[in-house]
Amino acid sequence: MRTAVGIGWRPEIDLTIERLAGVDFVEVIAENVCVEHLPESLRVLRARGVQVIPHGVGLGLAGADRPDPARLARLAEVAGALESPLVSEHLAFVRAGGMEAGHLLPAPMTRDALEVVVENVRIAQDSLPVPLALENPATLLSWPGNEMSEARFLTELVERTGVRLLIDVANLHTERVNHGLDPAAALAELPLEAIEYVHVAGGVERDGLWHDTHAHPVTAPILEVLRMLCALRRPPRVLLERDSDFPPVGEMAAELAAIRAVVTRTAVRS
Amino acid sequence: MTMNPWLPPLAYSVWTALVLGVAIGSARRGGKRADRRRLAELDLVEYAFVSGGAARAADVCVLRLLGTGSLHLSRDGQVVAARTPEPGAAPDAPLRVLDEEYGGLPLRELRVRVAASPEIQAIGTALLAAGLVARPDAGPRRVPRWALFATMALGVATAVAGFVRADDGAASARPWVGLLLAVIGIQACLAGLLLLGVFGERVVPTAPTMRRLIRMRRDEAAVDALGAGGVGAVALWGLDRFPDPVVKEIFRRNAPAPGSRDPRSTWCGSTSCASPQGARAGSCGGTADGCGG
Repeated sequence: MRTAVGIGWRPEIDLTIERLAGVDFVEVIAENVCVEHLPESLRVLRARGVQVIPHGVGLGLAGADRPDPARLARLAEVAGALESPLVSEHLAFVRAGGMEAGHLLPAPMTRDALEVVVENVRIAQDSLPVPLALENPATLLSWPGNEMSEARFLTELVERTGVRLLIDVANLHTERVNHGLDPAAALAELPLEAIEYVHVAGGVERDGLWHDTHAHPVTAPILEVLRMLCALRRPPRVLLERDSDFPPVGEMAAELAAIRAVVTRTAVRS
Repeated sequence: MTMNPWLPPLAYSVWTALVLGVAIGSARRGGKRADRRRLAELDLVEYAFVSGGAARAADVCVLRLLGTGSLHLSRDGQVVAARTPEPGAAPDAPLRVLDEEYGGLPLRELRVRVAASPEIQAIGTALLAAGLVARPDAGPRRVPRWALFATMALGVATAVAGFVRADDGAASARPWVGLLLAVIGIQACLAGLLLLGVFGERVVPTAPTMRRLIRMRRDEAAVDALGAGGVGAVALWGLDRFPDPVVKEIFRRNAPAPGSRDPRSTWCGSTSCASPQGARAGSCGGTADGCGG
């Protein structure tokens, strides 16, 4: 199996991405795409056969509220318009009591929370025309009283709903720095066969905390987590996320090449 | 042997034409002689400036940075810098302008601001100091175009009237009147023609620079060496020659609006920055239909 390598599509670098060699697929922030006015660049990429995966940030599937049917309908519409093979969202909550957090906040890793998320995911799956993949978030804090690890939480979620996974290796590194998580142990616990794709992104450490900025170069420890994952199971797709402070084209291409090299080398060895 | 009566006025006309040409040329150069050594050392942006003014020089700066991947241009015409300039380094004008903004700038605005930037304006000043371009504030530039055309029309009419009058000169009490009118008419036409080349706010290369440009334009290898990826051709001819149709179309859609000239700038496009034609032709090689292809 060949691993597709992609990059996060952002409007500021649409033309750069179109012309970047070695981009097999892209991911768009679903909330930023207007179906009535699909960006020309996405149409060009689609015409070239490049897959486009809508990545939601606003469903809040780990929240206590049920997912908003209008948001789900819009996500489904975007997936349809882009002929996407799947959509993705976060294992996070973004609002409560009618207030928007503006951030992807971690869910409590408890049995009660799992029940809520299972139900939310089922509702989302029923509304979407394509499979849904959930991403492990990057967190600066965790809830007290967690009853299980995030990997265990995701595993049970996969078993009960059949939801697919989007594993962010940069977020695993974030958890390692911020909460002492062992990425190898987490990966060993996850149902890797459920992985649809992998996120890789840069960040920066400040005052002992890792900030998953998506605005810094991808570091060696993050690529090392990717290597650990690939050694266990080669993922179908790996995607580089870059949201701001875009580097020169050459550096972007070099980061994609580095990701591809890790995937290829590890797969040969494994 | 009798002298042809037309010879003195004709000789006088030729002489005054030469004097006018030299005088206007000198005025355009600000009284300086063209620096031939400097002319041989012009770089890409300077060639763009002498060919198409500050507007084209700005476009070449942006295109060059796009070519090196230092800028990202979106299909919507938003430009973001690929990297913040290093502290203490002397960045290109577009990078410095973009560094002052968060989230980049629309291409249209970037083009105007780069053209008005100290870096590009300084090129015009340096080229003027070297006698390679005409003064932007030379007196003839203040003469409106219609006045020059009217002068030429009047000159032709006066010259014709003078020739007719001179034909009947023998029968006239003042035979020299016809010749005088003919000379005045011819001189008016010549002055009008010479001044037409510098009306408005154009950046006009002086004669040695124009000869250099013509030689460059004939030398394909030199054009390629001037700037990679078609940027050299843009410097000499305008955006029409840019080989990338997508980028060309983005530039066409994001041409500076008429009258969008930065008031702080002295130097402008190859035609008036304040005219709709200038907005396009300033960087598009003077085509009437913009840069699209």
